[in-house]
Amino acid sequence: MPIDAEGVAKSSRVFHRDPETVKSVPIREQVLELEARGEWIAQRVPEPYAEVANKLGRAKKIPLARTWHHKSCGQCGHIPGYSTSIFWLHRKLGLDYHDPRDQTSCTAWNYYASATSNPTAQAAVALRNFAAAYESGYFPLIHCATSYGHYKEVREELIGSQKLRDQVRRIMDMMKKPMVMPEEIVHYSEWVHAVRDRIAARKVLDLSNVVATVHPACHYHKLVAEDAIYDPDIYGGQRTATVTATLKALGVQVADYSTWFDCCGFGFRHILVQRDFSRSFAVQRKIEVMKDEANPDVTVTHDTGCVTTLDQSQFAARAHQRRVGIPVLSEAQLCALAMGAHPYRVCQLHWHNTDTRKLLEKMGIDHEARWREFEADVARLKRGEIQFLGWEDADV
Amino acid sequence: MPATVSTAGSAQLSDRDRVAAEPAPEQRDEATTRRRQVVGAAERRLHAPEKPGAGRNSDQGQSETAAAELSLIWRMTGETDLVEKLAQGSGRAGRGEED
Repeated sequence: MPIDAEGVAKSSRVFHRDPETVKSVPIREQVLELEARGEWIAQRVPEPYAEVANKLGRAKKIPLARTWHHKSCGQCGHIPGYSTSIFWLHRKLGLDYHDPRDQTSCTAWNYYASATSNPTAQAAVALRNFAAAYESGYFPLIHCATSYGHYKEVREELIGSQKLRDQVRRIMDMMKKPMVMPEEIVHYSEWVHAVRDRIAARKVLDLSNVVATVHPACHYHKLVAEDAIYDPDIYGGQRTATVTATLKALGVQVADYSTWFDCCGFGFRHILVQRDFSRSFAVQRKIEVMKDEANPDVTVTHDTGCVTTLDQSQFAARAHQRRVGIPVLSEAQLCALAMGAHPYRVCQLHWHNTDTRKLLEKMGIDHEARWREFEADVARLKRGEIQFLGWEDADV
Repeated sequence: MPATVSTAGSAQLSDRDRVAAEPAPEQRDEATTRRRQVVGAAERRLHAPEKPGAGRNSDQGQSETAAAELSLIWRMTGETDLVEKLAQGSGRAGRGEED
């Protein structure tokens, strides 16, 4: 029997956050303290930035521009329209960013798959990438929630262990790179959250008849949980506000479902070592529950693994006549579509498995015309007239 | 494997490895200058040409410096099997199932 999720969420209790009553020392202060002791450089969040409240009610700074984009292996490899949409939004909003080549994988998927479990290597990779961002003069904005959550855990380890810092310092010295820890570790969806009103002001589509469910990414709100963004106006401050607040700003109807807290099925490790479990979990604990309780037009999430797992798992389930067929998008793609981005040139929905055409129709997008345009692009590529699509093809 | 970075661990690097892994100061200066030049002039490409390991939004995927530095980190922390896989261009160093 489904849980009355709406009833549970509409509690009369009001939860007041008072950061003064929290006993733990804020992470930012610990990062700055280690800088004062000469342990590392704390890269400051550049102006302009927004301040948002985290789970404990403390202010978190979100840079709006001068961001160094730490890209995601899974987005670049499986759903490239995800990261392209993030860049497109920056360009449309006129916010300066840097898309660097000087970046490694965060190696966290390797860590979860037991291929590397060495904390020194993990921490050195994080600081190597932070140093690369610092040297460029831009501030890290992390596309992948796995990287984001993993780097936050690494930050905790580094703050707590002098030995680990010393080990990493020797590696950084070998690379002739400085020890750098950003003042904040920021996920791209926090940036989207911070600019959601600007995005809403530029939207060209009416999304008021679109019903969406939200899957909050575990790596975002369960690792170093106090650092995630919360807002009393979103589910009474009992769930992270990231994604949901953005959808509400866009005028989307956000529908609830009882297994919202459950993992998408990716499971940090399961998709890598026990994929059949991931597929079953994604379908039976998430997609079918959403279908039964909310029947949304789309489910929206904010992580590489969540988009791919929720989307790709529906493929096998179709063969078993399961109740699937919910398109899965990142909120970055939905925001870009709402602002008029091309569904194939920019958002690259053809990489997604579950059919998105009905959703596009409901959003008022002529997907047949847009597909013909994209096919014409492909024909030009085939004839060798162009070697790649450029931003001018994406209308920015 | 113990997670330690010792002098002995560093000493296991041959001179050749060190040269390969560690960019010369002038190369690093050049790379920094180049990075600063592209700052503000975001890359033109939406989709990079198909190339193993290439990020689709950056011009040509991960830089050689980044790859070399990742290799150095793994060498210095005893993850030598990963170094071999990186050298072979394998994107799947995990021990999980493949499908």
